[in-house]
Amino acid sequence: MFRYIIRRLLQMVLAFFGTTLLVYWLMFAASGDPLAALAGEKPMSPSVRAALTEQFHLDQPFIVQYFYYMKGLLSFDLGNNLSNRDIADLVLSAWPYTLRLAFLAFIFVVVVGIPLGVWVAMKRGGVFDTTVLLLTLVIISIPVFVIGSTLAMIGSMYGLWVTNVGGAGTLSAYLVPAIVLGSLSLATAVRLTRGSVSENLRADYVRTAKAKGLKRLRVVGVHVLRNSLIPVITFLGIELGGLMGGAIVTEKIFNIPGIGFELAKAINLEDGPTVVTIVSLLVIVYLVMNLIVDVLYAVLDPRIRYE
Amino acid sequence: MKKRAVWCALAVLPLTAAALAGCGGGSSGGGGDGVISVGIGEPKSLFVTSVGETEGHQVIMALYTPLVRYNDNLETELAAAESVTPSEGNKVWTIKLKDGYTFHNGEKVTSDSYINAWNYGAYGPNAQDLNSYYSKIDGYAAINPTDGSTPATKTLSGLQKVDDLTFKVTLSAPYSGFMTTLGYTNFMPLPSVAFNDPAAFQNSPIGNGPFKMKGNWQHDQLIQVEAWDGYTGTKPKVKGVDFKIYQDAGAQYNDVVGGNLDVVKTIPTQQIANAKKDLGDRYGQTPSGSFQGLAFPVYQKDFENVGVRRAISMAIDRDAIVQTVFANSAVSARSWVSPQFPGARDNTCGEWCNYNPTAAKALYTESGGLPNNSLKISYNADGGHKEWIDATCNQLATNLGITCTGNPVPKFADLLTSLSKKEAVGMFRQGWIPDYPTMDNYLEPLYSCDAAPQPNYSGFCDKTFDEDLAQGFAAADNNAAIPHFQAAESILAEKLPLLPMRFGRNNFGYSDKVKNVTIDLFYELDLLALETK
Repeated sequence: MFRYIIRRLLQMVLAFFGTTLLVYWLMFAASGDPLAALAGEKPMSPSVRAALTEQFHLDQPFIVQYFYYMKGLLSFDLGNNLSNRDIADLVLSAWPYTLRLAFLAFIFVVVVGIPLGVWVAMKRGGVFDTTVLLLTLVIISIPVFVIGSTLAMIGSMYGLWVTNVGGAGTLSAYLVPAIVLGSLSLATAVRLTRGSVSENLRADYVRTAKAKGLKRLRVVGVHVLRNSLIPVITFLGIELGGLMGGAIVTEKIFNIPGIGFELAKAINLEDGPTVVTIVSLLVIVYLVMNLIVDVLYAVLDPRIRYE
Repeated sequence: MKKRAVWCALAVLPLTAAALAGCGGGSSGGGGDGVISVGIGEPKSLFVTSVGETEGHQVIMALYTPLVRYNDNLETELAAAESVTPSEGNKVWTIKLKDGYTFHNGEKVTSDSYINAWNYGAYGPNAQDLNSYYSKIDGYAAINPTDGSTPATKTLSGLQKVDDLTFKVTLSAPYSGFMTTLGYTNFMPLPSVAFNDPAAFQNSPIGNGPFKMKGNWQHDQLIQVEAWDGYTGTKPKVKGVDFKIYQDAGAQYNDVVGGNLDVVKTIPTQQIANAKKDLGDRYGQTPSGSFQGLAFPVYQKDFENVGVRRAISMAIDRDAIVQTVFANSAVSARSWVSPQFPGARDNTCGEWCNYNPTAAKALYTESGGLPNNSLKISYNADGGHKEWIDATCNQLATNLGITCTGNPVPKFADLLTSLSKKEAVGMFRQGWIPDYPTMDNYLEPLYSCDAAPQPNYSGFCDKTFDEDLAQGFAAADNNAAIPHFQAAESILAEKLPLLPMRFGRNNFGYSDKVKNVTIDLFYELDLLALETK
């Protein structure tokens, strides 16, 4: 197991360099003129253009720019972005907002999604089952900005909940946005759990367990659930990685100054270093989440062993 | 309070330390304590020589007092300046400061505070956003070499200190409107501490204005200012202003409706229909100086014939677009200078901007039309322009019998790249927001020969037009300059390098805790007039 983790970590280093190079190249190829994007519709004098070009090495070829960036990254000096703000400071101040939102949404999905999935699996074919299936289908079909904007509008009209989450500064303010963000994953989690549980309910070992006279709670809670969770865990792990990458739409509607918002802004400004920094961090998060999911497999299912 | 504690305790388990930051004190909407909350977007910078956008400008106007201000009729009035006197021919301007002004840190405001700030802003290698705003001052070219070399001196030769409260500004060419320009952000003073560490200074700027910073700039969240006791000018009627930073105007609007925010400066177009119902008389509309037009790249042969340009102009029903696409959140334009500006006239475009499809079609056929009878209108897709460009295209297609297609490019910068390469982009949208109320602020940057290729993107160049402007600049004062600027505008009406489409309107809303909310032509909320109820 230990060797397996070490091997995976070494692979992650390679993946990290590969992705940063790729992302940096994409930014380089896709962006026309970052300085023009920065200036907007106002004129920029040639002397200012020259000074900024030198400061950000914009006249250098791609690989040299990448080298400058990596040098800064490895010496923990991310430098300033095009609007002269420290990138490390920007990321550090934005991420906690996204983390709060992501974890609350994740908890919502786990706490509501899995029990609901198990429950409907046991009542398969009934009215309740059909209703839940239909509801999840509806939720999956509605774009998140419709749910989000509607809830934000209702919340402010009747003073029910906070819609300026970033400004409120309390964790409870994140509840509604987290539910909005989590509702999509929730629908998938319910359906996935339902399918997996109902399949396992028909398995031979469940019949044996029942025949032994075990309590229903133990049969479902230990025998069925543990075996059914593998696909769900895979989904949830990857989903958590995705959630931590920020939710551009939800963050915008509820005014959460998180990482998704910063990323969108940086892409808009063609601010290469900021985009690459954020994306690289997201890649690391994603890789770590994948590793955790893989290790969890072994915990859940003793048949799986890593060498 | 108790509830929050529980939430925080719950949060500690899974959320790790990162989440704890949010469990401190929270701030609520202003009002009761004489503090008013105003929604803004994240400013790009708060260092005066680099504040070129409206969000930062709003904060700067709280923290600083400019040399001159504009009254309700947009006439220039003295603020921090005791007098501003031009020499014969408007080349040398003597600025005398009012005595008794200090910065928030106690430092006296002297001529050096201005000279040092302007020198810093104008010095090319400092890469300040407002660098080009000093270009009329003598010596600008010497410290802004275009070949990328390091300039030999660091200061503008046109700035001369006379005594602690008096300094002289020499311009490189006569400019009658110079006194009016002194109201813009780049001509504010800076205390000496600003230059030690500009990056740190802009997180907590020190100014000479009615408000001072309360704490640091909390990026993407909040900028708080409070009324400053030591201010010698007209004191504000509110105790402080919380500039709450939003990513989205829709969220601001929601918060004003819900009573969590006092002022929203822009109500999104899609909410304007609801605004009257939601806010009643707390929904306000004032004219804005922002201008939208459709430009012809005049270097392109297709648009050489002025008859075609006129036909296209007459085939556009500007009022219909303003009503249907913008829900009357803007007004149709028939002139190139906002009619609110001193000296500006309404409807200078005359018959060419009046909707007349029959005459348009006849003129179009008579003047030979466009190649293949097809027209392309380019615009940047990130600015919400698709609807009105498509509507315009539909009108042109119907009224002139041509094929017209909107050509979205990702960003305005991409459009500029195409224009600088003189590619065939067809017509293209162009917007402008003036910085100070002189007619030339609309005319010179967009249509003079010197301003090509940017921001005069259409490449229009007309000798008489430039001469009219030059005569206006040399005129005795702002009023004497007006006839010359009017003559210049009339040339635009004749040549039509750009079709005026509409002027913006400020659509704002406010809570029932505040009164006297006004937003001027430059999108600035008047913080001195603002009052709590």
